[in-house]
Amino acid sequence: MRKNILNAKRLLPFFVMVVVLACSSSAFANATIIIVNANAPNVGFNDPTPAAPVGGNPGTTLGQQRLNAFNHAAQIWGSTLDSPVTIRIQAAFVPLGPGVLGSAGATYFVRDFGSVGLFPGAEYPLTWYFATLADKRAGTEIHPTPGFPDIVANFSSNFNFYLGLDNNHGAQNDLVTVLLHEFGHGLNFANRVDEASGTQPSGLTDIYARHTLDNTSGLTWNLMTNAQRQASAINFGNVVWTGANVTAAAPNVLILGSPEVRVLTPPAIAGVKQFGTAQFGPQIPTMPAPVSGTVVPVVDVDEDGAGTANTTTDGCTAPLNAAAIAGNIALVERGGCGFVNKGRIASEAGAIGVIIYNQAANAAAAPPGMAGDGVNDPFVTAPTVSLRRVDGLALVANPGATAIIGRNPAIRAGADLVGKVRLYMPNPVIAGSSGSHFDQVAFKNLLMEPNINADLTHDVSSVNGNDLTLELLRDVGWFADADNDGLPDDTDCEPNSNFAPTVVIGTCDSGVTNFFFTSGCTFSDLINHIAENSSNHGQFVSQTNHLLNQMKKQGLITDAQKDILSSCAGGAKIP
Amino acid sequence: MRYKPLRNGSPETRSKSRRRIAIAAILTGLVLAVAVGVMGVSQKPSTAQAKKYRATKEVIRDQATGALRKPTEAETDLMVAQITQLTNRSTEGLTEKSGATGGTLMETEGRFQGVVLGRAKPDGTTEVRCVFTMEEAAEFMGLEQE
Repeated sequence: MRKNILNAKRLLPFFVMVVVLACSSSAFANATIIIVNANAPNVGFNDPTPAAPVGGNPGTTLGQQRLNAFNHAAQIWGSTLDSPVTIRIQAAFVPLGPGVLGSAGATYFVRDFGSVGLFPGAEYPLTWYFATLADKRAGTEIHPTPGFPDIVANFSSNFNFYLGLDNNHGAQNDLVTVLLHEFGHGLNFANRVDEASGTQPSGLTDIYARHTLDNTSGLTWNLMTNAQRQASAINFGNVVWTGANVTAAAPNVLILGSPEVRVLTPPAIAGVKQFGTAQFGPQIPTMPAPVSGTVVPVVDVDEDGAGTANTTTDGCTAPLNAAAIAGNIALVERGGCGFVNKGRIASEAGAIGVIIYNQAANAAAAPPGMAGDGVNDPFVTAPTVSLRRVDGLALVANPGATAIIGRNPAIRAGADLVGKVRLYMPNPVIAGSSGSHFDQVAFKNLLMEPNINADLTHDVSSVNGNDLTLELLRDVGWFADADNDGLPDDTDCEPNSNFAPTVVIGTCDSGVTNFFFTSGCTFSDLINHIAENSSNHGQFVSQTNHLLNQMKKQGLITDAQKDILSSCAGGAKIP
Repeated sequence: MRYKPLRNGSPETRSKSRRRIAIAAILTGLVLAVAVGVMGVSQKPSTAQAKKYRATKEVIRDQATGALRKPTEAETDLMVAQITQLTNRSTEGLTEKSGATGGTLMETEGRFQGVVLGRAKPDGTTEVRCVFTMEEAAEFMGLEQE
């Protein structure tokens, strides 16, 4: 049932806001995202190398397929978000260095911007926004140079991405997924804080930082001093997103059972520890039961005899104390061989869990995420995690310490005790990545975790239980506005307004200007609502004439226009 | 023609070596120039200085052999230069200007970028991570600061 638009209280504040509605996009417009091809002829997007169509990508050259993949990612975001201002992504494929697959980011930031029409402008003063979001909320392009790009993206022409559009990437890396992630940052899924120092550009906060809450201090980042932000940025597991949309959607995406590594005894070192996960072996979020036991440091041979390249604690060869390890949790120092080798060797010695702690060379590093090698992975039967060096040494120094590797069933994987979603805050800080990603303990895996995991879909929202990126963007200000009139759909008199230039009733074009009102309805919308709520033609005509009388009374239409409209209503076959 | 082997290589091989280094340096410069050239919309030189790193892990798949190997020194330098430029989070030298409809804007001039890195794995796949700092990139790619 439509809202009762004939309610006098809703009609009273009517006044004409804009007469010509050309400034608004058509209904269901969403956002237009344009890829601006910055490549020269015959390279990058213009590479003429023949290519067979793949995974729904019909391009017949390498360049076409690259451009199609970019456009597909842009289309996914464009059909998900709403903006009346075209978003321009200046993009190119260029020969980047080895291992560098691409880069992307906003081209400018804005604060204290105004707006046009019903668009709300900035939600907070003295707060930085990324260009794309600022334009959406301003209802117009803010940059003084028309057509100035909002996002810049450069990807490697040396790397063999999967260019299909169907996410059926197999062992390759899906370009569309990577683009969705990087475009997400450009859409304001990032703060502007330098986490290493806690400082902010010009000393001003940003819209993302306003939603970043430290559970320990109870403060959001915009209310903190630089020193407080600096400390918060390494408060692993205790910094969360406060936005209502993400919190509400989290139960639809994150499974119950938060992965954790907890030292049980002795009390002096007991507690939940910051840890990194492995892509091999049993996955904590899906383990049927936790593993707990005594933590036993491995002792193996010093392979190089000098304790340099290898040590007696690296677990790269069969442990000499296998009997003590069997049935317990093996503690292994990082280095000397691959993570998965350590996991396999400890598993084969009978360990029920494996903890790998950073070696001296990585003493200041966060516990790493650990990839498999595709060879040893199937032989790792014990869940394997990584710890900071300080936590590993504490276990070494406390023989007989006990620990548990498993899930806390009361907490969702990637959320806190009250259901707020955790942000990635490793210790030590990783400026930029800290805060501007979801925590990597989230499960299912989310698009905006630091690692772009192979199991991600192209779905960026929680509607089908897949992701929380759209919800976070809603929280920073990407409100749903299907007709791009500047009013959020949930307060819009008509979320899908009819923006025809003149009022048409049935097949009768009255020629009367289709006014747009501050309620978010056009003149045509009001008549359409009457039609939808009328049970018979007489009621429709009567209610329409009532509306026309009020419009006439307010001086919005003339007697002649009222007569034409009334005549159109009378002759229309409505309902 | 035969040359007597010298301790540090024959004159021919030393000459080739110098040429390779020179070519690598030129290529590095060219690639960086091409890459950075299209990155910034109105890019100014960055004040960020690339530190010297060395590769410690086999994270690159050799295009000729398909085998994993460490990045060469030239490749490492190129990688570090690009990542340092892109992840620069300093606002030094960035100016504020007025927007078309009011407000204040600050162009990033190629800084504040998220960088996608790929680490080749023995099974033929590549692990992908989004980083925002050189330090994070170094940790992921197995680079140690010299």
